[in-house]
Amino acid sequence: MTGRDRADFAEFVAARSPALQRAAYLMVGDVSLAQDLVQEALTKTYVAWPRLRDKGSADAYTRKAITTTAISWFRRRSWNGERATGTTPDTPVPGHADRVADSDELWRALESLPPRQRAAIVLRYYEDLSEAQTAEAMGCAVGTVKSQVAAGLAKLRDRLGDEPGLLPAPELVVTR
Amino acid sequence: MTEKLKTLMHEQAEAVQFEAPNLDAMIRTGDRTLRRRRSVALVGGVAAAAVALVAGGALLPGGDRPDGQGAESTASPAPVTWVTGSTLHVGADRSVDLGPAVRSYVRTAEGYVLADHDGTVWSWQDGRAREVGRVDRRSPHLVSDDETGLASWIDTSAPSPRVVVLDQQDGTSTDFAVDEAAVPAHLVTIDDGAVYLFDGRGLVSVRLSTGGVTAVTASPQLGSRVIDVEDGTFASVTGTGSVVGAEPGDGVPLEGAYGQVGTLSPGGRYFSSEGDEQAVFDTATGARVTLDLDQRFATGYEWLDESTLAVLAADRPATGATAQLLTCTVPDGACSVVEDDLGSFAELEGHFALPTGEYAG
Repeated sequence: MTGRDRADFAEFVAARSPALQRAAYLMVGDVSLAQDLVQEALTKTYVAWPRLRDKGSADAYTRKAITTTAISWFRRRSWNGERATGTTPDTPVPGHADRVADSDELWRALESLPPRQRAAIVLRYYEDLSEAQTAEAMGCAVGTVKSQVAAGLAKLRDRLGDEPGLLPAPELVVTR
Repeated sequence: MTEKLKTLMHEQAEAVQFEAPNLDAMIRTGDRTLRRRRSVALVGGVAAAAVALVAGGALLPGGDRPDGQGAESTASPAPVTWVTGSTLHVGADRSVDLGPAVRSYVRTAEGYVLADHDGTVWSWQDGRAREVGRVDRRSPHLVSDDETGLASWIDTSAPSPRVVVLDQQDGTSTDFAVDEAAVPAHLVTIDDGAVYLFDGRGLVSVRLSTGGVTAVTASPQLGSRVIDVEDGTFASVTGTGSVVGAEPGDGVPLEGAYGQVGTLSPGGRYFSSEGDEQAVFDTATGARVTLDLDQRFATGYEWLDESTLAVLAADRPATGATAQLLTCTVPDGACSVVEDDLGSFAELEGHFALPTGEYAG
């Protein structure tokens, strides 16, 4: 790899790491695991860098590496030693207790989802990806994304209730 | 409509402070991976050439420069190899004496790891065999990751069996205990820095960098059905046949694949089910890939790269017809013969091995 490639890669890492780490954290629920995931995914991106033509494809490549590895690593929630604590991080959001309680409850509900449903919801509603982009990141068909999102939202709804505005309405869970 | 789901996810994620990724480590590890990938294409050629030079240069492969630089190419698949007795054959025209008579062996990016008939495990690199451990001589099962220098086996010589993992890159080995309270332990594979092991806990992965153990399957029964793992893709056998997907025991059904043995290509895109008839599948669709083979017996046993499969074939092996080794590319199915006269299966019995980590019988 040329020095120019390395410089471009370093720039990409600096620019994109915070966002990638946040998405990884939402997928796996553990800070150190999310950091490891991003470190490993960016290493894979570095290896692939010469054949990635622009930052857009590098971003998609890294996101896919994070997502598929997260699903693989977190397939079962019975980590021994590496298990996420399941505790809610400090949430220094100014505001009232109800809001914090909502946040805690949502976090626990997200954590209870199977890894593929959780990844699909993070990619669709945190990353704002289309169903096709989500399918690409998860390495699956668009139909699988639809079913994983629908199943995930149904579980969240079961757990959190039907409070208006809390979750995307069923009619909005559509292809775009 | 402002969805709280989205807002709360942003709040949760932004409340956390992350350490900056280690760029130097990425570049170091990435460069090492690139070097290993290049060396995969050369591993047989350079290793054989090194020994050939020791032996007087008679085995220098055509086209390879003695300095080992002539054949470097990222495009070439790994060479087809096989062993008869103690002789490692690399393609049709190169061979080297490994020293011990081989009962089973595997390939890594750095060399070969083999088990002899006494159950001694040897690491073969740079023209030399070095004793590195013990394995059950009746079932000398070895696994490896051919993108790295990692190979592993279960040492049953100690009072409590232990998994041993050798890294041929630096010659170090680590070991850890298995749970054999309920079932005998069995190594499935090494993939992406983790050893996949089936034992009394079910299918677990042990991450070599941390020692962290992850239960991959919820039940031991499901764990016993996993055939291979590549890049987070699982090949499993179910009651209705083989499936490949992101979850053990689930995924795209592979029609006509029922065997307990098979191998995923390095990226998991293709799966070769080992049996009497060749059966290669595109794991994204489940579609069967037809290989251009006439032999009645044919089985793909090793991926030489993402799209090149090594195949053992014979026409009417029960009648004593000679066996061949071929390479076939997917998805076009084109095949070419590497060795057309291995001898009959009866002649090969007891002193023939392919790099599958199993005793061929």
